[in-house]
Amino acid sequence: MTTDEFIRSYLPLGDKLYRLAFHLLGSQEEAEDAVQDLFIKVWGRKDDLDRVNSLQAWCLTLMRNLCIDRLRARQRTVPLEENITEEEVPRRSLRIRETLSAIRVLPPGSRELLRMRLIEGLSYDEISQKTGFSKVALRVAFHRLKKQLRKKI
Amino acid sequence: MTTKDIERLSLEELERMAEDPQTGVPETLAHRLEDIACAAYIEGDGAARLAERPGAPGRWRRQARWLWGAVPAAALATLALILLLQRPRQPKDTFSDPTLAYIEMTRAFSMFREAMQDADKPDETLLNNNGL
Repeated sequence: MTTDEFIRSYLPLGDKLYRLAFHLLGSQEEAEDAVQDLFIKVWGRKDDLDRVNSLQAWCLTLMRNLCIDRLRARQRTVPLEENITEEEVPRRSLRIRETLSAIRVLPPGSRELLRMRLIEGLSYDEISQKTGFSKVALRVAFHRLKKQLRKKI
Repeated sequence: MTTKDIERLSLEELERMAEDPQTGVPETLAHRLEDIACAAYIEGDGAARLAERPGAPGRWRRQARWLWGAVPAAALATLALILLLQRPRQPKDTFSDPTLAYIEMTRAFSMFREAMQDADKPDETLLNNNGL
């Protein structure tokens, strides 16, 4: 499955998955974390995703299991990360988690630029028209952004 | 709800919870999802989009870039071929066919003869200038 297919098929389920997680965990922050964790896990299995018949049913079931793990970890007061061995989490999941952490500490403007470039696929001309930044300024901003991400990942 | 209860939830019940309109979705989730999409692009096959130099040529131009080198190279090769074909023929000195060797030798001798005849002719200009 390509990145585009993953984003088009799975990310729109985010709202539903959040609602389910919120029902089961009772906390907004934990539910958001659960949604993020689920997508990281799903990304880790990217090569097997073509075999999934019903995306929604599969994701809801995964979310239920993930919430159960979280609730059990909460009862044992053991941090969740300690319950997950490296074998259980594919390397790809670990990598995307690191990338995500690097993105989340970026300033909002940089994240917006990244979103326009990567998700919307806008050209530098289009970003320049949309934001009012000159192309030179965008060039500098993207250069810094690449450097910053490269350093952190 | 205990973990045992959650384990027993059917798919229909999970779907009902997931579609509950009374549970609002925070705006922050949309940002998180966008971050996940960006991370997926960076990790996945969209990484090239970020790596691309700003102002760098688009995909079709990148793919056609070899043309910029191939066209002048082809033009140079054609020019070289034309020059090679138009080059005055040098007399050959070895032949595998005796007939061709005879013809070439005859041609060479006739060239010598013409050259000798020209050399024997007096220079008209020189004669005129000296009143001869």
